[in-house]
Amino acid sequence: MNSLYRKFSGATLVILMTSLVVGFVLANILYFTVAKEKIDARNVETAQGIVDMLFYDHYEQVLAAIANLGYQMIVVDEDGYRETYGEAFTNDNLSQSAVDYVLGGGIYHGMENFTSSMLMMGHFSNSAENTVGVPFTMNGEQYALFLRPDNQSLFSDMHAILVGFIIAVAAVSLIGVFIMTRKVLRPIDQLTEATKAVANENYQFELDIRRNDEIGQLADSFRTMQAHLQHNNEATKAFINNVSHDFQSPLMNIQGYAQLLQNGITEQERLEYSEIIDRESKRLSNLTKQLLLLTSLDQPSYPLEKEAVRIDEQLREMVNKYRWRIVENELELSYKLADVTAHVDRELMMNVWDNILSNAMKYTPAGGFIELTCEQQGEMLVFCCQDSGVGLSESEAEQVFERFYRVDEARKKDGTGLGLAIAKEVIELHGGSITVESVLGEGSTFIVKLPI
Amino acid sequence: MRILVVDDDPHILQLVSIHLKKEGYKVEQASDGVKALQLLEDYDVDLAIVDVMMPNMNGFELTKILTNDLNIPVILLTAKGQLADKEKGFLAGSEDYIVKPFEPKELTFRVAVVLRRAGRSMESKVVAGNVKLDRQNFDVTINEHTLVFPLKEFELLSILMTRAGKVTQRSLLFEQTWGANYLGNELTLNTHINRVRERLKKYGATVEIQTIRGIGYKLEVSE
Repeated sequence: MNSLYRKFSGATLVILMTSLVVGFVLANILYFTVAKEKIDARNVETAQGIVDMLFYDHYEQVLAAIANLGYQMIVVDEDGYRETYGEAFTNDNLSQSAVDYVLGGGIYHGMENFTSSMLMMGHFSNSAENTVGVPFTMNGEQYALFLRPDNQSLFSDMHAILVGFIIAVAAVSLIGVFIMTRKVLRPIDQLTEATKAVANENYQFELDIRRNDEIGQLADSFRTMQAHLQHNNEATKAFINNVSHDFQSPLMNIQGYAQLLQNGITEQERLEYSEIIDRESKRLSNLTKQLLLLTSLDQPSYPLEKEAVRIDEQLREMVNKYRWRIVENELELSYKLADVTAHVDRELMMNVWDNILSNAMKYTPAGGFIELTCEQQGEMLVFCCQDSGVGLSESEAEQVFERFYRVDEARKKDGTGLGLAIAKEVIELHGGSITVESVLGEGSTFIVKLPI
Repeated sequence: MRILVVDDDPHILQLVSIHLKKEGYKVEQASDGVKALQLLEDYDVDLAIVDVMMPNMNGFELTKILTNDLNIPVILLTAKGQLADKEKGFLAGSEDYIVKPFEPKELTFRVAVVLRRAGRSMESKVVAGNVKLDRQNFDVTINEHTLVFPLKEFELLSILMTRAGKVTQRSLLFEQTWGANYLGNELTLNTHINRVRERLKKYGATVEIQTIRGIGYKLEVSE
């Protein structure tokens, strides 16, 4: 956490420094290429304006007055006599050659040619060399006027202001960055806490971040993930509970009755016990198969092997398979199947029909009827399985498609409680729906709708 | 009735044999197609149960020989999803097949069905009024509703339908349905006939089974 603070503050400082340096360099380039020459020319103009006003009798007063307006001047006569007006030059190093050149009628461009170790700041150098010089005649004598604006005072004031400005900018930026960093880091700290909580399987951890930016989105995603994980966790626990119960009870039965078989028993008992062992091992075998199917269906990319399947033929095949059971259980089964072809996974759909029909046979007492119909309604296949069985209460009908849900709490009937859950999963994978309409004690109707 | 079971898995061979013997059939076992054909030189069998996946000669080849050359009906045992459509078509004729794993009861039921079917050379489809019988599948279709009939009831209806309009004696019905040696009482027949009547009525059949007192029954097509 500290390191992020340091990084942000450091970055701000670096940015500030860099912008100062870059700004200075750019300003210098501008100054040396354009501004310096212009300033020189303007000052030459000013100097020429001044010398035009000078007359021998009052030139000193005029120059003193102009000096008061903020100029520094040196007047040199032919004899080399120098008079300074205004603020004294710190560096009075005006060369003789420059004086001679001006006295000879030339114009001295000291400002344009002046170089300083301080680059652009040389503009402010209070040096006699850093002037412009113009010649003038007064009373028939040649004079030279060297002039520069007195920006010494201006400069030192500006200097202080500029430094203050830079410091203020830096300080405010740093404080701003510090506050920003805190604002950014606080939710990150909270997220770290929350992540640790989730890692420790504490899914109740309340993440108190409500904002509209990217971090808010991250927090929202995190909460969604948390909810999913919690749900998955609960589902997994319930699942394991159910599975271990559903594995344990048949195993216990098998063990128990197998032990009984080892002792002296009557023929009738032997038949009874071995029947129980048979039934329970079948249930276990079914359970494993269905669990395997269900788990593979849960994979997000279960490969459906869709092909054109005659659904009515599949249903006839199913009826044929269970004909013995229908006859043995004295059920009355009738069906009315239209020729319907659908694009489905053959094996999976077979499993669906099997589960639905097995259920109907299981919960319909002797003498009852089962009726299967399938027809095409527009782009949908509609399959109904109506029975006159025990039926479902409203709450049972709601839960009947849930995994491991069994109406028969005592689990007297063989079954895994997974059949209809698988049917629902398969049908939904195909983009269809399965529903049940039922009246307790009168029977149930399962309705499957599948896109063709 | 003698049944030949052909499977290379000795456990399945034994399991199938035990269940068949319990139903009163005589059973011959063979572990592959070649041995099965050798066995057939010594025995006549009424039905063969053949596994599809076998070494030396696969189930389809053996089935062809058994049905075409020897005229023995065959029930094939196949694993789930093993049958291609073409092979299913091949089975669609007189053959039947069972997908493994199967319930022993499913097997014995199919065996009974195939033996019945093979024992009689009747027309496979019979129509009277709006009732259709398919002896191939043991389906009864009334008013476009197909019903699964218990075997005995199907048998009774089948006899009465082929003799529609004629009186059929009780003794003939008994003999054809339960076998000549059956010593059941008269009530059994009554009960079954009544169940058939109920079903016909429930689905709106235009045929009616009349009782001819002291003789038997007659199926009439009502207008």
